[in-house]
Amino acid sequence: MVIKSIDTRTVVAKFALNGKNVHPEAVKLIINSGVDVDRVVDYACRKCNGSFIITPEDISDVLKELSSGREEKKVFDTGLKDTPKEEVESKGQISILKDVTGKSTCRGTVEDFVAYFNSRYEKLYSILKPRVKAIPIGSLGRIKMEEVEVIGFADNVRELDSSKAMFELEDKTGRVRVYAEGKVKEQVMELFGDEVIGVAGRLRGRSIIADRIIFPDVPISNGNRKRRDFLMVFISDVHFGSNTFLKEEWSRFVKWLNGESENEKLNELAHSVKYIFVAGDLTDGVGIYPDQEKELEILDIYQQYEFAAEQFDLIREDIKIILSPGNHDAVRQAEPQPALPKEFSSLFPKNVIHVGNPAYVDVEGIKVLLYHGRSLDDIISRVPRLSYERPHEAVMELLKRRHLAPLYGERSPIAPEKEDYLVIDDVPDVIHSGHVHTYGTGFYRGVFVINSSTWQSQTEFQKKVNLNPVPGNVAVYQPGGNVYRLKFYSG
Amino acid sequence: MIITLDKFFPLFDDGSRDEAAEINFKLYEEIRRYHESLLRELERLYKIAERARSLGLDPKPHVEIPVARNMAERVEKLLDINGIARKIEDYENAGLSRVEICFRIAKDIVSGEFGNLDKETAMDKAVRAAVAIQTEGVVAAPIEGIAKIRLDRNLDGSEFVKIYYAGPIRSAGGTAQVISVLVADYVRRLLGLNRYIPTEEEILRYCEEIPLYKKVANLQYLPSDDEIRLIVENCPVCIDGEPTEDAEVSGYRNLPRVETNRVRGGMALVIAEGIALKAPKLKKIVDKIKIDGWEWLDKLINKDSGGSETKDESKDAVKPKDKYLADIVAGRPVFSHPSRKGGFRLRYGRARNSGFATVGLNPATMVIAGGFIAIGTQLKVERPGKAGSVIPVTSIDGPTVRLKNGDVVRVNSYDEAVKIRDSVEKILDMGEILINFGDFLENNHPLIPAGYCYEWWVQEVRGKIPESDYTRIDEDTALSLCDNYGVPLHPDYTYLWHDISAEDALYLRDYIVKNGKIEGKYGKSSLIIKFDRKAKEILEDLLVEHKIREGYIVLERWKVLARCLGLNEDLKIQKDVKLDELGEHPDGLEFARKASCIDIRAKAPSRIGARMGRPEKSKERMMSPAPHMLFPLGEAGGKTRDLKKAVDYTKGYNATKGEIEVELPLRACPECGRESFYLKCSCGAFTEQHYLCPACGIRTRDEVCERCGRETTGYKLWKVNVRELYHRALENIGERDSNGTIKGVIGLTSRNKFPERMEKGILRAKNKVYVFKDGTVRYDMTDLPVTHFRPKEIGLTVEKLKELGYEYDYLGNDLRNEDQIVELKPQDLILSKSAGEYLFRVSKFVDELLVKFYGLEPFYNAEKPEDLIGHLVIGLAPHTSAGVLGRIIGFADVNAGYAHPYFHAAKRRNCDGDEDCVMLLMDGLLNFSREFLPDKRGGQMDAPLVLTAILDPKEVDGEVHNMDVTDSYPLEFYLATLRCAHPKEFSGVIERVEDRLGDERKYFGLKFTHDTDDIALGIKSSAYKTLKSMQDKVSHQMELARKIRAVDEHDVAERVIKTHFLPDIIGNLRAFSRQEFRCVNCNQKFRRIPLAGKCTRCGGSLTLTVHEGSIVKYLDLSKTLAETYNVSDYTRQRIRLIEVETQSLFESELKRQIKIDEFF
Repeated sequence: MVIKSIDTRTVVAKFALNGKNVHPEAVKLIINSGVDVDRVVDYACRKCNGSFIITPEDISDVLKELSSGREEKKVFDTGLKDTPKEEVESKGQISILKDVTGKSTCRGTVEDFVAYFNSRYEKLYSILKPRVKAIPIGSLGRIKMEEVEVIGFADNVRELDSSKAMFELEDKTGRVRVYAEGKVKEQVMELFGDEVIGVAGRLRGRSIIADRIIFPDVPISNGNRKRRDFLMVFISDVHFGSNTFLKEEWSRFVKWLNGESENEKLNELAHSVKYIFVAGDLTDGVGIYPDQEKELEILDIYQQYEFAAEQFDLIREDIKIILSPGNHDAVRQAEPQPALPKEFSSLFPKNVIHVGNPAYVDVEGIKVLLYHGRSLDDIISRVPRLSYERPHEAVMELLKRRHLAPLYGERSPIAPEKEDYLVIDDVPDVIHSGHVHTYGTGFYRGVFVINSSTWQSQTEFQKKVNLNPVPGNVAVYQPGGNVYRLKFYSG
Repeated sequence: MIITLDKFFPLFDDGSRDEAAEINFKLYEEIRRYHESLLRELERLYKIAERARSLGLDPKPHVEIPVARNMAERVEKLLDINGIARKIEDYENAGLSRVEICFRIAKDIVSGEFGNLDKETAMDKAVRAAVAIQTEGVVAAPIEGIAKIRLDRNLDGSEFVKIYYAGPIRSAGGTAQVISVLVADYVRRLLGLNRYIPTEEEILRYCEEIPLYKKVANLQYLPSDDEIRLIVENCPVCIDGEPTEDAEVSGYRNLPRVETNRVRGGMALVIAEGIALKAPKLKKIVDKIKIDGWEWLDKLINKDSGGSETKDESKDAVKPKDKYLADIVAGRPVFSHPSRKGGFRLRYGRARNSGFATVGLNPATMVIAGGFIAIGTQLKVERPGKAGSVIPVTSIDGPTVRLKNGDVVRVNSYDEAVKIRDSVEKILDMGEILINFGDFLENNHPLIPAGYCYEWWVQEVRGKIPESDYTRIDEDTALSLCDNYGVPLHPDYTYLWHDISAEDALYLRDYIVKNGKIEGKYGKSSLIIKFDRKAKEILEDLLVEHKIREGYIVLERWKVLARCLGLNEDLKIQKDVKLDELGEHPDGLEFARKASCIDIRAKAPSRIGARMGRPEKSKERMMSPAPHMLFPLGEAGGKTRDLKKAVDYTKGYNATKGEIEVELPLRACPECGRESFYLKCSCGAFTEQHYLCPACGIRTRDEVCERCGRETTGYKLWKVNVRELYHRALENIGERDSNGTIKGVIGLTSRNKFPERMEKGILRAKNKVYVFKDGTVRYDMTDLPVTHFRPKEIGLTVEKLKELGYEYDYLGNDLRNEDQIVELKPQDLILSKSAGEYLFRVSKFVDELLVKFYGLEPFYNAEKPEDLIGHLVIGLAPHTSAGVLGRIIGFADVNAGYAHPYFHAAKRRNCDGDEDCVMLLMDGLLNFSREFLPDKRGGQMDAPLVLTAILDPKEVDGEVHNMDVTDSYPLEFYLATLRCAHPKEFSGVIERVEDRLGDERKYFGLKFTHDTDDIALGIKSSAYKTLKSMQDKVSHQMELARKIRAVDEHDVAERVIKTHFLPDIIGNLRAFSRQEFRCVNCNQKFRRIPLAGKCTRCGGSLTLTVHEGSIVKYLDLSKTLAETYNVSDYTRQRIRLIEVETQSLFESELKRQIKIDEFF
């Protein structure tokens, strides 16, 4: 799309949409450059993520890079685009590809929320774009075509009767009703709401009769099948400090890691473990739910983390531990969550790498997406087919939507960052979550999906809501090879 | 309305007059005339109102508040079952109990006495009738609390009954709830239906859902999982419910026979507060009715009592309970921790303005407690119940305080308290708290030891000492009485010896012997002791008044103290007591008894913890925003719903000014065929209601579409020119366009959306009164009881009083002056002054309405609020649907409404801090219409669907039957309190209302144990209300906490943070990150913000519904509290973590501060 005459106002508006102000000189530079304005705005905003005012210097840098063609590759690559080098923490062969830690822009304004959802929409739009010839919803009233394709946020999903369903689709230009029947209706009934999807269908009056629902999804050809010679261990929800923390089971696990178990074969397996991933809820925290003090063994949050650090100290130090927080940890609850603050992270041994939630981590070329899994509660209660017994199937639904917490306004709290860190814009090799205290693994279009269990026995609350945790189950994965399930809990 | 009195007075028909004392007969005649005058006046108003309504200017051409004589008629009118009242009366006359009547009526309904009904309908009517009878036909529960009753099938194919309870079932109370279940079981047997057999999943669903309801709403009692299982497995009727909460269960979802995943509040209430809590009562009924299949109740009952009953009840009775401290609110202080030294000292008794869930305090206590306790303020108390309203009683002790100069004084009067309040350093003792025996009985709480008080002493010494007035005696008399007659020490000189140890007593004695001397220097002879911190502290513990002068402790009254320490008047040891002569861990009381050789009693063995509940209230009822009329203006009225704005509204460039589109009823005139939304057509005929089918679009006269069977609507979208309507209305009533706003509503929520005439709004706005959802104007007040009054305290002269039909004082003497105590008639009210002012304006509005709108004579002709004395009002409580006729007889300068406990009970209220409303009777008769009531669950509540003309104490809430009405409690009572006897021992001994229900003495001759100078003496408005910012409230609360000896300020700080601030912050924080958005122009709500960033309806800008401000507002306060007081580390850490979280959400880590001039 080439726009011939661009005025200053348009450029300023385009930046404003991204939550940026732009220096008048910078505007002139853009107009005179002759480069596609959207490209410049897009790139500049991403490059200058965090600063509110785009200076002429910023623009001239951007223009230089655009003309040298450097930009394209990066956009496709990591989604990290132009993060300064030092931010890609490099610890051995581990690099953190994406993580909100230290980069939070959230100030809690209306504009933040607008920017946040626009970021979600744009990211998912660009994933869907190759497959959906979308037209703006606002233009539906003016066109004569019968067959239309649109992309938007799903909303208000309703069953009309046993054969018909209806929902609304919203993009920046407007809202349209979509009706579905038969097989498409089944698909529609599994929509959560708030996911970005494509719809292909026929225009009827002011509504669309859907023929197809297009999810962003993971490409079928995906898959990094190279076999590696090391093992990755996945755990989460340890809940150090809780009076239901399973001490014995945990120390059996540590013993195994250190090659001190009774079983030689298991010890051999332990020998190849090079990485441990912890997907949140390391400690039980304080004040997470009412009257929590009655269920805590360690009341002091510092002592909880000290105890956690001591425990990690017992693990042989050549194993790298990648630790991300969950809703019980001492960071903000709204997602994305930053990594543990210094006062806690500094307690841990050097082989522990602290990341946020979610976090993309590259380990020797294997891309692992860690996400604690707060949204699993929402989607498991929304879709009858899903259950706490098979949590990995819920995670697959997230992959299909390419978003970690699509449902807004329910149990998953959102911090409106300028960029939506919860979009799965890069397809990982492994996706690891926890939170629901049950165990499940599987492959989805080449992605290894794992929901790790817990180290806490059934709590009073879980008893009440009929949730049966599967504690002490550990998934061990050899990239490109086998998945092992180790059980440290006999109860 | 035809109503006569013969029904009410079956008494005195058989010559029993000789037995009745002469005085009783006089009072009986008086009450009879009183009732007649009420009815006469009611009839007069009714006639006027009927004439006005017959003009057809209202939704119905007749008055819409039917008058009911008694419970039976209320039930009939509430449920709309013809003939049921007569049946109930027949059974009543046959001597059947309420419960038996429920079952008999149920049987009659099923057997077709009231028409042939199908199974479901019969079941429905039977259950509703049972609840209605059980709740005296007053509350809304029978119509609103039961959504529907359906039949469903068990897995074996047999049919069973499901009752769908809804939220308003709460108002029925536990007993009526369980009776509904029992009646349903009884009826299903008659109909040959099977019992409900739950599946395992369904049982577990109940186990999950009921605790969840407790979490999101509240339950008085949460049954254990085992109890829930027991009930669900065995209850033969399925207790189901409408979803009432947004919360959903997460475990047992999508069960085939449970229609919703959301929480069903009505169901939880019936199981928890009904069956589980009232199991013993239910068992009694089951035994009486002899219905089988309920044997399992025994398990439910025994579970509770099995172990604990064998325990020492007396120990349990006085164990400190801190439950009242839970859910403490910031800014509402704690006045005493549980059973702590220095807390309120219990005194048994009922003042003429107390009883029925109240607590009496000396007005001085209100002042000294930082002004937080006002008349009518609710106190949450440790025992016997949960809460009570505060009323002033001057005949009990006030607080004892230490002033900044070190003096310790007992403050017994309001004026004195006001004088010294700024120099109080420490509140050593909060003074006495007056609670009546009846409240202990009602709450089933064991009596706890009474403090030694005058009422007790005087009964012990009667006959032993010469006849005289001993209320105020000097030290010498007190001692000589003990020595000469061997009677116990007078309570005024009984110090709190049990609060100190024997060692302390010994220390004090020795110190006085060594350092004390008797001098005449300061007035009379005084004991002067060199200052010593410990000695002073002991004196403070004992509550001995003293002064500090020039480094000396000065005691003006010291003789009894010296004697109690075993000293003679020369301060020489007269009787030495060694510690080892006393028992193990001896307290000061043992020492003093031994040393003085006098019978000294425990002055304060029982202390009652208390904290502030909700503040008192006296305020006009306003909806928000507060409308003057029930006329829809849509968006045209702007945010303020202003008619004036709508009058100038234009939709587009070419639109007519004042033309708006709103939903109004679809009516048509049978004469001229014109459509209208009013009852009266412009041609003068009455219009008829028409309906539209929303699906087929066809027009019918039926509520069901004749083509598709769907429900039709009685309204349509009208194009209305409000400009024309407004000017026509002005012309009609001869008013001119004024400057003020006249507020309407955005839209009507009633079934057919019937609007009020604009004239009413114009006149209401002119008189500055506001309309409630049902068309009436209301005034809310906290309920306070009063059974006797002094004419002067409510501004009445003897002449006026006689005019009102009062002829004797409460002892039967003729009325001669305004100081005599007069017994209040049950339907007479003493309103707050501000209520008088508001109702005066309402009377103006009503008069103008009568004259200008209806073309009749003015009725009230009041020129000042006092002119309303003698006029009738309707009293109505929330959650009920039956008003009670009342009469204004005066005003008191308090922020609450004083009325007879019977009157409150007739509205089904007690006086534990609740509030309800009054409205002028004429206003109700003219302006109330059922057509205005919202068409939703609970819409029929809080509306005068029926009016009780004469209240019968038999047919009011049974709680008041436990109120005691004697003038003194017997000696045995005081002695029994010491062994923590059960109050039941004294039912029949201490006369209660219940003992009088049999005859007409229920209406008069009630007595009280304590007098008070003035029912309006005390703090009028709680500091909680006068202090504006939360910061001020909290700092005053904490200042008071530091001052009161019985309060641990650190615990208060911790509780305030933990139960108020942190949950509030956390709640808002969670809400912030999942919040809705709102358009600043049109108020449209968005669950998720539109991508375009502006309102999709009107293009307006959007705003957050949860702001940073609402999250951090309590954070700083919490931090300050945590820094100043000893708060647990756990709480400190929680605050710290929340602070970090708010920073993370509201501060960008990347913000680069750029100065503007960097650019230019």
